[in-house]
Amino acid sequence: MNAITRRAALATAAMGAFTFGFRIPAPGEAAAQTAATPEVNAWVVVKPDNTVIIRIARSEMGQGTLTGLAQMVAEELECDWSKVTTEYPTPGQNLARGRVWGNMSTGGSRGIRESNELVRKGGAAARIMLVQAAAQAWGVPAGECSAANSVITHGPSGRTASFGSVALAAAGLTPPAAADVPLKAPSAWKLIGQPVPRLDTAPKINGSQIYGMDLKLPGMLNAAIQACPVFGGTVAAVDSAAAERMPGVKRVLRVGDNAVAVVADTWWRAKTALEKVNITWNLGEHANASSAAFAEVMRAGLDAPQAAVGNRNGDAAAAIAAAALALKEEVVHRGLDNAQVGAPGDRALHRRLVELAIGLRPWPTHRRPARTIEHAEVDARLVGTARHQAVERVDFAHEVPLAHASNRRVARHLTNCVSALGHEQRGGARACRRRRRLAAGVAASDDDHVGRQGGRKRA
Amino acid sequence: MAKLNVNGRVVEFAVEDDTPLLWALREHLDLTGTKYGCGIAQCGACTVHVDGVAVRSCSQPVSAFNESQKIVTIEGLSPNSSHPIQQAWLALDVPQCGFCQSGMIMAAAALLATTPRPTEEQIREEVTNICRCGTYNRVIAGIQRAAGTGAAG
Repeated sequence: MNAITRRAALATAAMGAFTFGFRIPAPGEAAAQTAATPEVNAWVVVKPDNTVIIRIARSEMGQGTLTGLAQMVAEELECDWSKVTTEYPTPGQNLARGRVWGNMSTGGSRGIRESNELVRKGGAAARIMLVQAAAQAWGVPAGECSAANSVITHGPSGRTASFGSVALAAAGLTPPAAADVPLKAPSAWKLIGQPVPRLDTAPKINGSQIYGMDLKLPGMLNAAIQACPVFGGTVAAVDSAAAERMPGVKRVLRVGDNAVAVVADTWWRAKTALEKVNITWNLGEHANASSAAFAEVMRAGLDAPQAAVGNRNGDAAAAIAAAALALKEEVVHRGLDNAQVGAPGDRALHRRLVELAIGLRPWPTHRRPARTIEHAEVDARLVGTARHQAVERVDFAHEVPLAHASNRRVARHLTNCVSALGHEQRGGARACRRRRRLAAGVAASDDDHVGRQGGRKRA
Repeated sequence: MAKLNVNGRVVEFAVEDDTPLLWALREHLDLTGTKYGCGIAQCGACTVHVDGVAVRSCSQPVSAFNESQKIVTIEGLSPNSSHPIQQAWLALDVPQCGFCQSGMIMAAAALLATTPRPTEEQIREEVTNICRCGTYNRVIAGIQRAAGTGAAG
């Protein structure tokens, strides 16, 4: 029988000998490791057994960047892919080394797009150094040597050396200047673009992958925090007597002037104790705020003659006045402060424009022969947010499956080229994230068949 | 005080009776492979086996268990990730971010234990774990592969 007490677990933790937990290297440990396991350069560490550790400076969140970036380094390194492992440098290490790993932020699909040249050069530079080290040991020109599958070969003599056997010597060489590191032509890629198994799958199927909430540090405590439920409110009084008597609780703290936290040995104990803290709030000036009140503020702002315009394209007023059909749409989405969450709203606008455009055709069906929709497009700048203007035109045929549009008749009618002529999106930078009003003029090439469907004919 | 049989070992440790099994596993036994998702038995990230049955550990107090019940977490499902579900997951690269996958694998393994050749309908009925990345199609394919009922199996 193996009894584990909390005291024993803490004592074990203090000795840094976790059975299951995750360990963060102590400061300087990475450098100490270098002596035993040569770091050829910032991107590549080669162990004597030829295991290659590729450093990854972007966060893997399921998108596959860990594997993709490793492929890029390995492509130029010419290493044995079956012996590749990865590790993450920390932002602190990046700072200490003059941002040698570049931008470490992850988002917007930028990992591959923005760092591919940097990481490929990292792999190529390491290969140059490994080859140089082997050539020096043999006393031959590096130009007579080549690398493949973690083996360096001297062409004329046929001699070979593994990456692991020369890594230490390579680590002592002066790295080549970036300008002296040529990259392969894409046509020569063997690994980039190949659907290799992900490097992060193995730890994700046995529970060993460490996520933020799994971190354990020596002496670590856990906190549970309660902020004022109303933005702008403050803590008026705290009665923590009951919570402080609960198991594992170390402290009950005020955090700033608007939150209370319980610190305990475990998160569950902190969370349980927090529920026993009696907090009196001063809810402040927004005490009566509600979704309905927000909506009213937004509506008043959108209707105001001097409302801020977040996105303007062309002379909207004139275009709308001249349009055969004007549509007004109001899109409401949750007030989340992230440009990306605007996308669903934008998509709704796209779809609405498409549906309205489609709606133009079937209206007086008896007056036109049926034709097939071949192409329709709208200027996406009209409906995108300021930060989502990269795609300038949206092809309706891709944006929505027309065959499945609500009006089945669309498949038999031509939409010609429908263009939105002008557009004005009202609402301030923040307001427009929550509630937008789109006004756009939509015209079709054959005006005699423009009708109203869903939109409002402008007077 | 709790006395549990976890991954084949009987462990005894000091913990409040109303502590959810999930938090006993994660914070007292350092078995962090079992994840906290919703805390209300809806998402399944905390799924473990109790006597072979999938149980959502976030909503069961540790006092509901004793050493006669065999609790198995993702860490104890198999040595070297050799369970057929884990092998299928590896072959098909089922996980994306992976946070839900411990629970997903445990739910899938429990299903196969009682229903060795589940239909897609049975899988959809029995494995109700939530995956924010949307790995459902590969989860179904993985279970079918492990069961030998996949398109290629």
